[in-house]
Amino acid sequence: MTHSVPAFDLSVVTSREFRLVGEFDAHASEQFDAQLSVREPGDLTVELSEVTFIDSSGLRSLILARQKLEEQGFLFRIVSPSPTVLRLFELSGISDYLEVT
Amino acid sequence: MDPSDTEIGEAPATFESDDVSSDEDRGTLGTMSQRTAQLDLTVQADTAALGSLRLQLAMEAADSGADLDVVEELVLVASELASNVIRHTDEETVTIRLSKTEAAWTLDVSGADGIDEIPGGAGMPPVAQPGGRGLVIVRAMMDDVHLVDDDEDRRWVRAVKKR
Repeated sequence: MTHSVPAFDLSVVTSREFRLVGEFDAHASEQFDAQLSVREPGDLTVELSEVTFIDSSGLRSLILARQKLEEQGFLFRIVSPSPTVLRLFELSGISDYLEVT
Repeated sequence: MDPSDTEIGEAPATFESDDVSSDEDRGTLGTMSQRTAQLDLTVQADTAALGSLRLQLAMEAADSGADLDVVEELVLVASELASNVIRHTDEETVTIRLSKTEAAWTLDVSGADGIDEIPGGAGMPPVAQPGGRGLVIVRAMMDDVHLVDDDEDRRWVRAVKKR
């Protein structure tokens, strides 16, 4: 039986802004990691207002992204996390670390 | 089977399970007693199947009367446990079973053969550590998480949420 499942979409608004929509799980994190690896170096803002689901795989990708940019001397920032995302950030205690605004 | 496909038992699956864990078996390997599953779902062990798994579970939990907050917690826990099976074992499929009693929601997730202890009991890792949060999140969402063996000697992770 095949079901329609909520999609994940990563929009590269500019080389310095990603906008994520949908479910940021282990599958989506593979897409995020791949996109991160091919973008032009520079600061990065990730907009999460329409992320409907996130798990530890999504958190892992965001933490790794922050660390990669820091190592390169760039800023990493998360803006407008949805309530679902914010709840898991707070549970995990990583909101400050991820520069959430 | 396409990774996004699911196989759902045509009739409610009967399997062995506990009720809400007693203090005696909290955090320890339990045995199982008879119970009927609300949902018995097998998907290919592929991250592409996780979305379908979550959707099916959310629909069943909501149809069975779970509040939205509980639905979200069950979905997150099932996704974390299934992701672990997909990423850390050689299993070709992963099965989740949801059951409900007057006292609790119970999620059983296959693929725990060879595991003697469920990690994640030491709390959240340091903020700069990328991994190691999945089972801590599972423990935070649920009232009890432990291992159980079925009558075919397959080991499952059981996560129990009191109602």
